[in-house]
Amino acid sequence: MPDLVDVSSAADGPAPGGSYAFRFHGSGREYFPIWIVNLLLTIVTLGIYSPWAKVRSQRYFHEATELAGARFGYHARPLSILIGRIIVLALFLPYAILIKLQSPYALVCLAILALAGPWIVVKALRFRLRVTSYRGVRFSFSHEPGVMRGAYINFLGLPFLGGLSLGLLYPYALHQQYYWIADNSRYGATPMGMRPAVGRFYALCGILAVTFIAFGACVVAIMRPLIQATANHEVPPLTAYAGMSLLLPLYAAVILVALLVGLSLLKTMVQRLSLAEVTLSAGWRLGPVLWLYVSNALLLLVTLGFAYPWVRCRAARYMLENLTVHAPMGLDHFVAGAQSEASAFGDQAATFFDIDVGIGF
Amino acid sequence: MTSSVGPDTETWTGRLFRAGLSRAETVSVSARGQDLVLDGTRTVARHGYTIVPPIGGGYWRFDFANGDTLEVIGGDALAAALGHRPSLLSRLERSWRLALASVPVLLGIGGAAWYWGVPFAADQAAAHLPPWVERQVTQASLDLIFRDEKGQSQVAPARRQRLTAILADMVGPEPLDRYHLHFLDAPLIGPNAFALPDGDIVVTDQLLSILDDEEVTAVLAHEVGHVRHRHGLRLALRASGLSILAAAAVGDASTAGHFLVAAPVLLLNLRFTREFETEADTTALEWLSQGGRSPCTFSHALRKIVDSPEMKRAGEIAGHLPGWLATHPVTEERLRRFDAACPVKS
Repeated sequence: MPDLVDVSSAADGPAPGGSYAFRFHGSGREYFPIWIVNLLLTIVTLGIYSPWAKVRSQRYFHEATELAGARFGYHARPLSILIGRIIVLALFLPYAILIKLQSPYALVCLAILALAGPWIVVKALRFRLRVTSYRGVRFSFSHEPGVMRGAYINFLGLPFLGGLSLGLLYPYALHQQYYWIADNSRYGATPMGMRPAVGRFYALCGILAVTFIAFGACVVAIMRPLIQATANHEVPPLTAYAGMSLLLPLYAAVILVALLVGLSLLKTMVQRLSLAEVTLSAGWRLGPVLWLYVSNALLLLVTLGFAYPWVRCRAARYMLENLTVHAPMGLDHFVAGAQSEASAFGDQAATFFDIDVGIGF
Repeated sequence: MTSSVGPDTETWTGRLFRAGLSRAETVSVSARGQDLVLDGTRTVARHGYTIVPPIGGGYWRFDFANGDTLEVIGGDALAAALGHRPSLLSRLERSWRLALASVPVLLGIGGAAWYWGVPFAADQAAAHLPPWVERQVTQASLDLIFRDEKGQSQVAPARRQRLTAILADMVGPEPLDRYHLHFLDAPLIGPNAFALPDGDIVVTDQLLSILDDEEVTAVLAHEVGHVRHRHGLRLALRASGLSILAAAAVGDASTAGHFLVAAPVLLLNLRFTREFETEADTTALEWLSQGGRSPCTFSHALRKIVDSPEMKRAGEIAGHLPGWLATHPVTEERLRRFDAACPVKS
């Protein structure tokens, strides 16, 4: 009996274009036993199970994410993640130990890591996008020859110039990194893109810089009487210590501003992404996000970490359900691109170094 | 999403994606033996598809050998009809009984790691770390402390020599070059002494101005206790271990969580410090109880330090700290052992 019978007559009519909000079907109640099994097996195997655990939890979150009636897929192989982790550990461990010992050799390691960094970024992006699917079509990251050069320019050259220019080029470097990632990403055979937003990146980073400078000035103003008294070999007056009670609210204010800037940057970027005629709009607002952060932190603290499944699902639900896809021609017309393998090495490196690749889910 | 079509075949609604196309086709799915039947016309034999069971929810995926993908929400009964048996892992991942039973076990493992595992591992590591590690850490601290001229001590050279000789006498057969006495003028720190991991002991001018040599000797005996028990390195390693454990427990769920993780780690560090202070006190008490020395001198020294204006002021600022928030055990509690060993008030 042939496997294939033509059923094209059964195909739906052309799906209408329109706007679709992401939906998240996961729940803490459902994720809790999965997380517990992951944790138990990871402990029992002394950590060897953790790549398998990662794949299972990633699969849970991808497959619980719905857009226009279809779910996302995650297809990483645990063994490639395990190998990647071992390699990255071997790269990173010498640096971590040497920097703790304040050994000058840490700088040599740092130089090696800096040189390997952009290469790892490319590997990570290729892996992460490659193992993600939607409607049976895989995402991917460019394999064109120029992509490595772009990585070294955007993740080594520009940040270096940013340092030389006393930070003036940093917002541009950050912008170029996101721009380059979007520009080299694909869904199937269709390339993604990002409308430039250099001005907004400068404005937002400017707000952050001003906040940090103001915070620094306040700290100096508070600590100055103490330092002066020490310099004059006197015992500082009691009022000098009283000013220190202001440090905590000031610190909280800085965190608030940093959160707002981070959220705005993410929103700026997401709303400028495009895939052919498909675009995104994000309805994230500071109030709910702040509440999410504070309440999640408290939940974790009060439950000694056992609220983790609920915390993760709450965060995913808020971020996803306030994200809308605008597809004027529907989502039915995309086709897969050329297939290629990507090892997990880069992926692990990215989570280990905490490089924000920014377009994950 | 099940609906009965024929008298004997149950059908499910699925979404079919042809290989390499994002176009969704709604199909009815049924099982005929172990074969999948789509829309009653297309039959896929068992060897022509792979079942991808859901993790948690009810999202079943069927990957066809030709690259097509079929999604069926709520396909549990369909998979069962096809002869699929859930794996042990799948069953465990749906078991709330197992999950709830695991909570106390995980709490126990976490608690044991927190209270015994990390301190034990840190102490083992401290005992096996090569000496140059301690040297390196200590040198970095010394460079920081004596970075500028401000800390230049005003203590007379004769007294310095006297105290250095007393320290050398105290440590006796231990390698002499291990211990170094440093003098520091530090109005902000006040009367205090501290030991660095490698055997460098720092005493402040403010301490020397209120204590006589005998009392300073008692304080030095306490600091030697810190060095001998390698408290500096053990504390640093224990603190690192706890931070790692706390971060692992709370995970990367929320950045705010990381700020809050620091607080319990700090509190536990305080517990370690008190434990180490008591241990150092024991060393001092043992040494002061031999060879015509008197444990009383330690009591005198500590009371003078506590009664100094700098310490009084610090006390006013901190208010009355509860026991669990204090780095040193409460003074009177601490001195009970010394007072008991102190025969007559001199």
